[in-house]
Amino acid sequence: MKRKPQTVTIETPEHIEIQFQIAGIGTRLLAYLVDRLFQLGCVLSLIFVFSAIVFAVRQTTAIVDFAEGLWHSLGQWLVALLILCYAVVTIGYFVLFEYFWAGSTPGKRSQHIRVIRKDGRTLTFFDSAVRNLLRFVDILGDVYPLGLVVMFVDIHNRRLGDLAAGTLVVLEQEAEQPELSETLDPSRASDPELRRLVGHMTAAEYQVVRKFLSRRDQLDEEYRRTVANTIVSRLSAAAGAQLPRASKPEAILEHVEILYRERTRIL
Amino acid sequence: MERETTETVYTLVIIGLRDDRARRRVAAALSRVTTQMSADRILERLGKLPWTLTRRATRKRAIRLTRLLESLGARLQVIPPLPEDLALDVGETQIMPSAELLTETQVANATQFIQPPEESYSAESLPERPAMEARPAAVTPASAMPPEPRKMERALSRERETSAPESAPMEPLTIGGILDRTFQIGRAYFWKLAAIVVIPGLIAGAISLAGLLLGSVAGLALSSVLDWPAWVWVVGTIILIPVVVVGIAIFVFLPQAALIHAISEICLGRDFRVTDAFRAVLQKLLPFVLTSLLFMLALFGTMLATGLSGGVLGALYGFTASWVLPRSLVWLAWLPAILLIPVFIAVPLYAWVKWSLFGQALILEDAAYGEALQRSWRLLSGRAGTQWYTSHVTRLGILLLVFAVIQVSVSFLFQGPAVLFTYATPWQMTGKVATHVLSFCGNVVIGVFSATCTVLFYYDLRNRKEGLDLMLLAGENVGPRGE
Repeated sequence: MKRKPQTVTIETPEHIEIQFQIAGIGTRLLAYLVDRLFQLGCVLSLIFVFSAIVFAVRQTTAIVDFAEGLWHSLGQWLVALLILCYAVVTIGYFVLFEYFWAGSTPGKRSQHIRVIRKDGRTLTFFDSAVRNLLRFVDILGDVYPLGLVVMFVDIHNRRLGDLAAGTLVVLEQEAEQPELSETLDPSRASDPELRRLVGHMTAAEYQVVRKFLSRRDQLDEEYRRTVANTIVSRLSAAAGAQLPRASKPEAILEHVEILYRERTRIL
Repeated sequence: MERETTETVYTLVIIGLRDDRARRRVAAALSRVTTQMSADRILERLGKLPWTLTRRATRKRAIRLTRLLESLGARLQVIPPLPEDLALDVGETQIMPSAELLTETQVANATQFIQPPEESYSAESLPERPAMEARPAAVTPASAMPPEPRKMERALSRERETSAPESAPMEPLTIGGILDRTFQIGRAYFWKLAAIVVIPGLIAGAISLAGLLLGSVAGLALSSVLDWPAWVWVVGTIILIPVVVVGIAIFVFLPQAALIHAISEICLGRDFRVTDAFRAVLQKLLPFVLTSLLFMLALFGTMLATGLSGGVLGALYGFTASWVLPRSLVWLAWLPAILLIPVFIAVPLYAWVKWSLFGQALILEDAAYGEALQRSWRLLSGRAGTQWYTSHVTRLGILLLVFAVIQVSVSFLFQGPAVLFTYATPWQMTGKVATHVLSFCGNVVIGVFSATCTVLFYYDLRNRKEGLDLMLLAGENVGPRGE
């Protein structure tokens, strides 16, 4: 399945242009939500494990006393300290993952995207730190209002952090190649009507056949037959080929696909 | 730093054709090896030479193409020139159809006729270059072009970036892909789509204002509402009820229906006008309103049925268990009833998601009332993959959840300044008006994006399950045209 990427062309110092597919706002948003879920999961797991240990060693009272003591001695500063810890964990998560995973985080990896510098190089620690420190501004109130607007306005879907650090978020996923049959029924290979049909085929028609064959298993049975029938009848009409009615349209398309490839080999 | 290992790429330019027969033969051959243009368009294009076929052909591909096209009567310029001794070393290479040749930008833009570069390009002779771990989509020799054409190239790159949403064909998308495309369409057509929501909203606002003014005048004329004579009440009620019903139909349902129609036009690659969007759905307005009522009734019925059955089941279980269990464990009898509560919330929620595409079914397929609800239910059955979370209901649920997050963001963005303004300034009335205006703006933004997302999801389902995109492609590219 494909995404609909935009592209950006990066020119290296050697004047070589390299095209990258820019990650869309939706994909980035999903990656962020996955990361937040991951963070939440990790924090809750840590709290659960810590509580379980405290409960197991019967030190609950001691911990409560310690927390109360801390509150009495630090007062409001404790709240500030907790906010700071939260910020360090949140930002540190992104900085460290992006630095050690070459611009990726678990969320980004799940969506097949990663951060690069705008000259195409891998992110440095400084770049990662700058883009993630500005995340605080982008995610005002933890709901990403400013980041969303800036990404929407910017043609390369960059948020403030990206603009400050000179980074881009790009897609890594390569287009999937459909699995197609490589064998051809020998009795079919010499069928003159089939050869005539293939002889009239254009590349655009071949692409339709190829797309159908690679996606037919996902189609509902009724529509699968209809689409196959339509393609075969249109191809036959264009070529004036008389294909036997008993033949299954899908089988014809499989042979057409292979024969077309054979024909381009001859070219 | 790593050394460049990229293979040399070649630019192929058709600079001449032997005669008209050669033109036809070359067009026929090219139509078989490109996915970007039809034979007719290629034939037309061959009438205006020179034509840069590609700027990124590999050596083998360049040799193959050159040999093929020259044998058919075309004169080609290859940059850098192909080495003579390698010309035959092409083995089993095929010229497979690809998007590499004749990109859509080249077809669409008149600035494509770039002067053939004078210098040759060889990657082997390059100095060190930075390491790039992300796989590039394509490599083009920019150094091989003089400065002016390079500017043109950048202009073309920019055009590719901006024109992506309009030219993107329909095909199955991932959840991220649907969201990306939602934002792309939003970016490209925001003002037109927003106008569909804003125009009826403004008219409704103007009518409400006029009503308020009239009411004020009436209030001034009569000492108290209670003093109004009975005939005023009767006439008022008779006029008001149909006005309210028609008002809701026009100002709430009409923009929704028009949005669905307009976004569908965008998805199908057609342009639309705001007035046409309204005109197209006018006849479907009454079925749309009635089907929406049916949807709400069905949902209410589901909630009632699950709630009642859950309550009865829970109570029965609770009473039975309280007789069986000892007195100290009676509280346990109510535990399953409490645990069942999420189930009874989940059932109406599930029904809501399954019926939520009734509007698309009605506007785009003319399936009204129960048929529209059934169609939505059927469309949302099945899975996009093998895992449970790829079921269509879950995918739509995730999309709706993401949109809930976006809604919070947008509300924060629009309501935040209004709240600040209200509390930071002494003008309370102005603050209230600002809150209402900004809230309306926020609703417009959310309305446009959520409608885009659901229409895209609807088409995604039809592409996946019914091969709608394949049928459209077949109609457009396969066999006789215009059928």
